[in-house]
Amino acid sequence: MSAPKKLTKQSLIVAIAELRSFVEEFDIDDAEDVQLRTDALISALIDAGLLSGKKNVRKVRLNVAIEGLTIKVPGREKLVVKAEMFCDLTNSYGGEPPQSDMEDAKSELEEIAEVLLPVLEKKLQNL
Amino acid sequence: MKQDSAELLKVAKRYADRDRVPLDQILSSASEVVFFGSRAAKVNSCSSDLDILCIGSGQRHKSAHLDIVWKSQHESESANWFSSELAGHVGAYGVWLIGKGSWCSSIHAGETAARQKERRIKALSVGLQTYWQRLHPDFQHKYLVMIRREIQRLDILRQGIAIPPTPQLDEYWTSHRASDDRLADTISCLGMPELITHKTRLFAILSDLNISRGSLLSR
Repeated sequence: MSAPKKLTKQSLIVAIAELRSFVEEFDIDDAEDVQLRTDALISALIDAGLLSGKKNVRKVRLNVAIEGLTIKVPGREKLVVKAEMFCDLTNSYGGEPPQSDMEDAKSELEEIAEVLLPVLEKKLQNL
Repeated sequence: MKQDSAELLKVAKRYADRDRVPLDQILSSASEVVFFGSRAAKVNSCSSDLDILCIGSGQRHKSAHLDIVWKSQHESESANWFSSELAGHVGAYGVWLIGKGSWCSSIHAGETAARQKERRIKALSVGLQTYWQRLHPDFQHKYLVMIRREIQRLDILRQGIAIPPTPQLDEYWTSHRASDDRLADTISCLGMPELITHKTRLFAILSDLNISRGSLLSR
């Protein structure tokens, strides 16, 4: 990955929209959509310059992304554990996680967004 | 050729220590423990993770080094399990640490697994086109390779063969890509016209996205 990009208002708006729509449109019956949206969210955070440099973006999971956020996140450690749980629940062998796991994953994501959205919005206001 | 279970246990202990996972506790609470994937089949690279299937009650653990999958006793005795992709793979390539895998005689290559694989390929292909512009180039590449591997797996499932470890899929793809039309047939069976717009099989999947065939080869 190249050097972190400079944080811009537009890229931050995109990252916020990505997280918000992910939560609002989370489909427990569509594991592939969730998988793609997770990586789209990480991509938006990278594009906004909110992640410290990673050599191999392909292997960056949501928990690693939250751990590497370059902004202050309250209770980050707890959030990283939640994101790790989210990744485990949504990635099963063969790509067919049971519905109960997807429901749990949705709850984890909602709790992550509850903390992360205000942080990103505050950052946006201060730009 | 399979790896020795004692060697795999050493690797498991090393990775469990690194991830702070209580391996002894896991081993004592599972009625069966089976290593599978590329390390069990001795086709791993040094960066490959170690896959472990445990029968019993426990929590999934996945990291860059270690992937511990749990199936309950009830699940492991169900018809769904016997016809699943994972059961087929473990039955053929698994190395047992605890238990004997007596259920392996009940494994049958299932149409269910093939149908699920078909559904997944379609969902990934459609989804990738939707999210393409929003994905980092490294993620774009990850999904291209993922779809290629899933199509290979579908082809193998339809032949009633156990799914080999991923490095073997990649090796096969690299060595046969010029002459093998099987994947083209597999893609055409998916009934997605947008996937077969070119003469050359899998590359057609993402022709709309201007992806070169070379991008499907690297891992």
